[in-house]
Amino acid sequence: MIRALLLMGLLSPGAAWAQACCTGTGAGEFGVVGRCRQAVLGASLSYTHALASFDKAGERQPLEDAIADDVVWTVGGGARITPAWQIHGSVPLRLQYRGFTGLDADTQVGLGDVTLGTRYLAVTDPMTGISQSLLPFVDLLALVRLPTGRAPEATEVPTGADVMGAGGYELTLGVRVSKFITPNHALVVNGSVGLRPARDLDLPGGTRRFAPGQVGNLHLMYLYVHSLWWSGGLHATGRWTGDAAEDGVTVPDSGSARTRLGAHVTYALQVPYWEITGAVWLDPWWDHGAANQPFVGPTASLTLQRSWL
Amino acid sequence: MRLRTLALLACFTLPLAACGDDDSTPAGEMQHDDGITRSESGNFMLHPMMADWAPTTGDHTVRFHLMNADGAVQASALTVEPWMPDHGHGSSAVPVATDMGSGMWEVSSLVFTMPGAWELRFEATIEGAVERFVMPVTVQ
Ligand SMILES: [Cu+2]
Repeated sequence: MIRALLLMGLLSPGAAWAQACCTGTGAGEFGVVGRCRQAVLGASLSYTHALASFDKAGERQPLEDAIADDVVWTVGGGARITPAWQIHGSVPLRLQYRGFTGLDADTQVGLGDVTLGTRYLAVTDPMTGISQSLLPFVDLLALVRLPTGRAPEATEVPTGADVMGAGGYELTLGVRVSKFITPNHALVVNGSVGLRPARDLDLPGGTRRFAPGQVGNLHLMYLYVHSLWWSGGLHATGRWTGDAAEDGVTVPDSGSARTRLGAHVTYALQVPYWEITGAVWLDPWWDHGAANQPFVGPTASLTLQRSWL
Repeated sequence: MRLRTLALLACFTLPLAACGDDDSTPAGEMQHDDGITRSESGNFMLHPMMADWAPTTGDHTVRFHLMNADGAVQASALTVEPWMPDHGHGSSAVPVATDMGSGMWEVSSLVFTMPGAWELRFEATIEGAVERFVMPVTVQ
């Protein structure tokens, strides 16, 4: 089936349906099995350079005397269990540089937080365009982030450069709705909630119970499928967290917000097996574009993925 | 407000002079615009020896002044824990507090690892009793 469609796409450039079919859902995502494929393995290298922080009131503060650079090498992959149901996961290896006033600059390498996920395709878009059918793709998502990276409270170096993870579990449940307005243009909305259980922090002065706030995520994407080889997308993401609590007492104004804008371009080196994706992400450079974020700054990434049919 | 600023200025310039209590201070409020933090009992006050102290990330050595309504207070011990309540973490460095006399303490190895809202959680032993102070610090 897929080979026939590919052949169609290769033989007639107008066979946009086939193009979309093989570029459709999973576009711009890492380690997620794409449409018409059975499995995927990928590796991604990203670099983030912090430029600013946002305080509680949402005022953007350029970083003074602080340098925070993160290089993340992520390997991941996924496989279909049934045609509609897949499992996937990713393992980040992080290299972090921190330079602060009065401290020796420090570079640390370590495992970040491993993510495992599953998704179920509940509704299928015929990808014939909105004039033919209103049905979108609907994916139901569940993700768990494991605290495999060193937790903030477990740091052993003065700069905290060895803090590789969030310190706790996060269970994310979400829905991803993708609609091909035409066979070449799609809009994607991904909404999810993240649940973060409380955990005990063992500190020199005794145990403290810390409950991070719950999370809401929203990801909007416009996807353009140019051909079997080229596709790209524009992204806007938001992540909001509620107030944390310490020993059962809410920490006032401890919630946070982070929004980012991004763009990606994917090129299929060998259709439909090998593809390479370049992406950039930017944080707002205006006040109130985020709140309570210690380090924000642009990210550039390059991803290579191999799929199996 | 202006009175309190003057009082604080007096504390800076005349460390041995009495730092008067301000009657307008609402009870239970721990932190004021002028950088003075009250102990949880409300009987003692602590402030950094710097107007508008707004540290950056990194390692700092700062002097703090401990007092009550009558003036400087001698503590037999002082500990400081930097804490980021929003994130549930402190820093790996343990601050060292040195008694400089006349209610003055010099705190070194005070390390902030990220910008944002931090707290300095002080415990001062005064006449055998432990007084706790929670001083909010905005790190740039
Ligand atoms: Cu923090």
